[in-house]
Amino acid sequence: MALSRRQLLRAGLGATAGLAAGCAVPAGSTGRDMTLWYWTGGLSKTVLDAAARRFTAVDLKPVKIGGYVKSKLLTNLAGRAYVPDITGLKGQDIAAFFAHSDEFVDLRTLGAEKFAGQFLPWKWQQGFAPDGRMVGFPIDTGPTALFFREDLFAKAGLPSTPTDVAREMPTWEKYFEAGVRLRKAAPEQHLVLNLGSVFRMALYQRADQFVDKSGKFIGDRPHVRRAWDIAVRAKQLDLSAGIPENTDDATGAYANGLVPGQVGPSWSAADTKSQAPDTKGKWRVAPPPDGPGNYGGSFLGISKYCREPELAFEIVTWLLNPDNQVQGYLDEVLFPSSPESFTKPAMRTPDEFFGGQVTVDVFADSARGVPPIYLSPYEDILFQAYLDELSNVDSLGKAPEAAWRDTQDRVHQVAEHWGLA
Amino acid sequence: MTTTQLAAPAAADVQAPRPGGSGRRGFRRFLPQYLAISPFYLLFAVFGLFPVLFTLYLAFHRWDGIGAMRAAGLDQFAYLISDGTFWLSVLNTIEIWVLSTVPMLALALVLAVALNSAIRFGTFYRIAYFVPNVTSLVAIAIIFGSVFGSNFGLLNAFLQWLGLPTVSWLTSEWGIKTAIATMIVWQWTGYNALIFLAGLQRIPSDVYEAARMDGAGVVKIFFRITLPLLRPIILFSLIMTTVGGLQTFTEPQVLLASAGNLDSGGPGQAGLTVVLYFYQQAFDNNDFGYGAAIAWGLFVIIALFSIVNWKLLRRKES
Repeated sequence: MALSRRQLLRAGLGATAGLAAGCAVPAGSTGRDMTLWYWTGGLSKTVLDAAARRFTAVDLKPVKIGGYVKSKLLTNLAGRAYVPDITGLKGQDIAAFFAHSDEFVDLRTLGAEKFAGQFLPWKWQQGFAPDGRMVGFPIDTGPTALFFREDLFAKAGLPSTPTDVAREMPTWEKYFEAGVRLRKAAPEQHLVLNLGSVFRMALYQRADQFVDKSGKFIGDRPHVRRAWDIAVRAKQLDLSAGIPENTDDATGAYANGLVPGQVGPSWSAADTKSQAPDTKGKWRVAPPPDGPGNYGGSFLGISKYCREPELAFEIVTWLLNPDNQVQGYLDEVLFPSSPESFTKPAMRTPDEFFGGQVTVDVFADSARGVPPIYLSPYEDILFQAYLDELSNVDSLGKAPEAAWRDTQDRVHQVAEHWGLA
Repeated sequence: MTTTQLAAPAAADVQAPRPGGSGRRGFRRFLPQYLAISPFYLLFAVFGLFPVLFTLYLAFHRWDGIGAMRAAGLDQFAYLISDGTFWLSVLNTIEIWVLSTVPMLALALVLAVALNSAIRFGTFYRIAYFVPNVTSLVAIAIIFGSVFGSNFGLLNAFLQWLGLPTVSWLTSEWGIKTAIATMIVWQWTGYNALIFLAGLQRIPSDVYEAARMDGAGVVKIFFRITLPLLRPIILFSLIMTTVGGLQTFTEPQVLLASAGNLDSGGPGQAGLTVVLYFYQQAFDNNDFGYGAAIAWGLFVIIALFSIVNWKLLRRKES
């Protein structure tokens, strides 16, 4: 078919007009739709499907968002376009939205407070913005635990049952001592993936982080120095494999038993299961050295553009009721935020990946003992400076004291830039 | 009063069109043509010009993306100048640019000369060398991530097989820079080779014949004839490579992505280029004002490089 000049011109005009018309976009969902943003592994597919069948007054449309969910949500909120009715908010991102808590429905106005008793108090509290509005309803938690390879620990002559490990490695110092013994027996094995991960785990064992509730920078205080010193200690004992997380090298290190132990959040078990399937049955879980902490765990919020907030709230509370939280754990290793879920029979199913261990016992104890961590909107920004310098110590052999001084120079500069007194 | 106002244009309309036509009439006469070229300009205005101007506006403000913008005067630029990480990113960018540009242009020249000598399957080779340029950069970065892995990477496996010591590519400063530069070389050598090839084909063959008659060897011909006559093309490639190289972003972002160190450029922040730092500040930290200031900082640097290039070109011409 030959295209005449006139036809071509008309087609071009049509395309331009279509583009211009595209500018008039709705702020939220349209028609019968109720959109829900989540991410891979963020919610149980089984539960979402059941919710879509159960709530028939609307068409529940779960949308899986790839990449940086925070940036994408921010973009849509800034553009007031296609903002989801219900949205997942990652634990480390939710505080970034607190300055704009009015973009979300205050869940207290929908009667959230009567659910408060069902959830872990520290988790419930993290869903509140400093202005008192409740932005996020708890999905899951990330209680920390000590993951270790039973076979490799036994081979090195270390305690290898969860009970023995719990008794023999109650502190970071004792854990590192075990690491030294392990390296004597098998020099290629490291008990620490990298220093940054130790720093993170040690810091999340304390309620105070980098900024206090009044907006004051406290990243130079002893609680931060403690976490730093623990991380540096691992380097001094030569226990770090110096491998960044989420890289091919990290996957390989776990799969090949080069890192046979690691303190990490409950959800990291999902990564190990998918990335090192051949190690099935060889892993065990023990309580973390020096007590519990929490890393990650998400929330659901309802945006102000939602046309039916009451129904949305009903859907949220149903999705996250104790029974469905159990399903989330079974499907996606989302560790429940409601203690009632811990006691459900399905939670006590022996986990074959962990040699038939009932892992919920370890995670539940850890989850109950998490300190009330206060996360300000600036945590990730400041965290970066510590991680950067720790990786210099880890991989480039920078002197730890010089690295600490450089970190302090940097974080004070960043804190000043953000107006943190 | 109204009548006179209405009458004036009407009277003008009645007048016979002057030769060449007034501006308005000319516009109306060429309306179809203007409309035909308008999509590009409209798209450019929306996605090119507006963001540039808006970034300039942003650089004098604090903005987290949702709330109100607060005027910040020159604060963002003052912070930029005092920010050691920004200057580190500038240094990284220049180092990676040098590491990639020098071998790339040398290799491209060799390839172009090889392609220019009459060989079989010329078209096949030209396509083959160009394919890396149109391959998805993210896909390339993921593959190179497996190649450069320290413990389980292909390259280290190869080094081990040769009995050589392994290199921790992605956890050492120069390893990271070499890995990024290698990706750039891999992707852009073929592109530059084709540009050089076009330049080579422009050189008249009688110049070569005369040289050969005078008894010049292959090497002498290359350095005395090919290279001088190719200089404008090489300078063009150099400018294009400068503009591209100073904006290196995807390679370090994907290659060094790690849950703990988001967009930080790996150990020693060795892979933190200016654009990656800009992205980290604007989109990870929601600090759009400062991100805009970084972008304008980069603009100044690119402008400086361009002025140097331009001066060099002018001196050569005069």
